[in-house]
Amino acid sequence: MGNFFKRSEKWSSNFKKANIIVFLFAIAHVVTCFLLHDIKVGDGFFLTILTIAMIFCLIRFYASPFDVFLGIALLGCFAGFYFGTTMGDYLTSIRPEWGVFNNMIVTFVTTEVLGFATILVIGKKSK
Amino acid sequence: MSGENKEFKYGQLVEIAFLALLVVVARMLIENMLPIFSEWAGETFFVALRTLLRNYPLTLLMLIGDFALIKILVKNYSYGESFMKRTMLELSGVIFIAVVSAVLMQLSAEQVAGTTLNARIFLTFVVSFVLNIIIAVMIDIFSYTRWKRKTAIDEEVKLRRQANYQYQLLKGQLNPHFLFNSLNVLDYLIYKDQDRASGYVKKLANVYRYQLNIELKDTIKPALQSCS
Repeated sequence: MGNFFKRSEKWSSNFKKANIIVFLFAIAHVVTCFLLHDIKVGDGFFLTILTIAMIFCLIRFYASPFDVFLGIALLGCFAGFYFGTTMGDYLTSIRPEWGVFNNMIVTFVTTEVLGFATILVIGKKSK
Repeated sequence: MSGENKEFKYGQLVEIAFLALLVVVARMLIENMLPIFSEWAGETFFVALRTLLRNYPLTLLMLIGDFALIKILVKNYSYGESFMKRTMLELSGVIFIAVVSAVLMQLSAEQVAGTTLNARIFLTFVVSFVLNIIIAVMIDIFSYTRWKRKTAIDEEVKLRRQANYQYQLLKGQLNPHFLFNSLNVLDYLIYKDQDRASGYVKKLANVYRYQLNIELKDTIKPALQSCS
């Protein structure tokens, strides 16, 4: 498993691996949302930590400098929070019977978009 | 993960954990404290943001401030050198711009009944800080992508120069060896067959003329293409 997430010289291979990392984190976000959304503490804190962890893993994977870590993490968390709550409320207003699944769908989509945007910023192009 | 990541130090991990904590705290503060301050100041976050953005000279001043801040940082601290110092300076700069803009905003704004000046200044500061950090971070990310592209091009140029140097070195070794063999053959031909020796000298001259001509052409490109 450790070897699988090693960066190679091929840009397409790295891109696929980075997308798998993003997908795994998106699944983790969905599970967290499903388990913690309806409890008193809420899922916001844990989702923020997961988003930061995803950005950290992607920067480490591409061995990029951490200069833009704070910037990407801040933008990612605030954009995630804003789009997540707005889209979640909108979906709930359309399909109230779906309950927490609305939030799970929105969390998954938001995480995928944020992860993809992070890959675009920090990913290294092939020579 | 990758091989370069072995250089990742414990100190760096602590610094990143600190930055991550900063992001979590900022996110929690914005989510939980902002409604309370909005109530205290008598207006919501988006109303305060709209009021701030309607002050065009101040908005322009903030934009110039953010651009100047990132420009100074990029000039003095290259990416990948001291990220913690750079991040802290960026954060301090944005806080300074937010404080100045909150004070300037209050100097030009009218007092709203039922709210305290402190609450309004604080709300304007928070709104200005969020706005400026987003602008500064976006400029920084744009600047970072440009730096990344430039670094990749520099690396490519360095590789090409290395390949060119190796090619010249090999050619330098090959030429005396070729000349030595050719002179030995010529020496043999002078005794055995003078006509053939004369033809040989002419052909040798042609070979050297050809070599001299291709030296002037860019021969490294096909060599690199065949390697990749």
